[in-house]
Amino acid sequence: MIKVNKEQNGSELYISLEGILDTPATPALSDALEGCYSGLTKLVFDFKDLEYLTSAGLRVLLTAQQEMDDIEGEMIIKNVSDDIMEVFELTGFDDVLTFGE
Amino acid sequence: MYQIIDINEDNLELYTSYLGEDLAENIGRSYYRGLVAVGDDGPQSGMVWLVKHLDEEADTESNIIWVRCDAKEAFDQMMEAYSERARSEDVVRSHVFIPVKGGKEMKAMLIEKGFNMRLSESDVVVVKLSELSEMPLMKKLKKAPIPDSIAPLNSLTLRTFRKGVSKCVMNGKYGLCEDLSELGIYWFEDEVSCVSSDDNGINGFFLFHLRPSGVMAVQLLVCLDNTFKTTLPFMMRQFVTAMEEKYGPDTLVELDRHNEQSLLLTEKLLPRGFGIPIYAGGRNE
Repeated sequence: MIKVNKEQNGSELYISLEGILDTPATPALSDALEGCYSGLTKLVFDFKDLEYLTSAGLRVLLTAQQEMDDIEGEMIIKNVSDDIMEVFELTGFDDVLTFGE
Repeated sequence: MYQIIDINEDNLELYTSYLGEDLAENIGRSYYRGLVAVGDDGPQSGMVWLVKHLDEEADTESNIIWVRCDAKEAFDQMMEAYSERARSEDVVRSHVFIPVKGGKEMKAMLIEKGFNMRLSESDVVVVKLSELSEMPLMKKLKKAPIPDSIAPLNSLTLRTFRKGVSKCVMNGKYGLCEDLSELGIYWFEDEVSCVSSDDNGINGFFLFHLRPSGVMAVQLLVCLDNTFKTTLPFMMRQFVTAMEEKYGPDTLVELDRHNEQSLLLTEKLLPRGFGIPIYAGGRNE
């Protein structure tokens, strides 16, 4: 179960996630991101209330990162828990993503 | 100016350290090709690729599986030589896969050479033996006895092995080995690799190769009949049990999700498993 909160401020989009980003939940995030990239310069994810993510969630993040790379925009992930950071490190995602405070 | 050299079994020793042992051991196999650009200080750029569908009706393609650059000019000359080699073998399209880790510069250079590079997920999932052992599915499988139909590879005669390989090749099941019919049984680690058999002979293979670095890498994971939903998990169980007896818990196991069956099995066994992030690209030749 995931709650996706979107907030757009000009060319910057902020998405905070609450709950678990697993296979059943990823369509909600994918839908929230669909069509948003045009004109975007910055995409920020806030993981403060994200408990857990699975490989399905990683795939959505990978796609989002590629989309932002395509438009030469910036994607940042904030407030990553130690558990989730461990997943990123084990999967090599720490080389793909940019993290912020 | 750099000297462009085709790597082969005769000169391999000169370039093994540049390629790395795991890659170098494949040079000499039918579908593997390698190039280095050598300057006064030794190799300054190198690449290894696999030619696919060379002897089939389908378009010939190339998978560049390793590329290294220590001097831009060497890389440029090497890539020109690669284009010539690709044309001479009627390669229609080249694909390239490089790890994201340390790959940003190479990505830019490959884009310059016409490859459309995109972030992707590798088919390869690398996991420690201890993690495999602890997976819920594995623990569940260990509660049941291994069926008599499943046995280690070293219990097979050469003749039976070859018959099984022929069956796979006839069904178009090569796994990661385009040259499966040419590889000897010795290529596979025969204590941890296993097979499944029925009254008609071999109906499943779980073949692994031990790389020089100590990584145990899947080569072929297939069940040829509709028992795959039970056969494959038990072959995995046989593999893990054999691994535990022979290798340490930190031994790395490389699972390449090269077909639907291996994808489904890996997803079931490792629900959080994710292939290493890569840049994947292609270009027409």
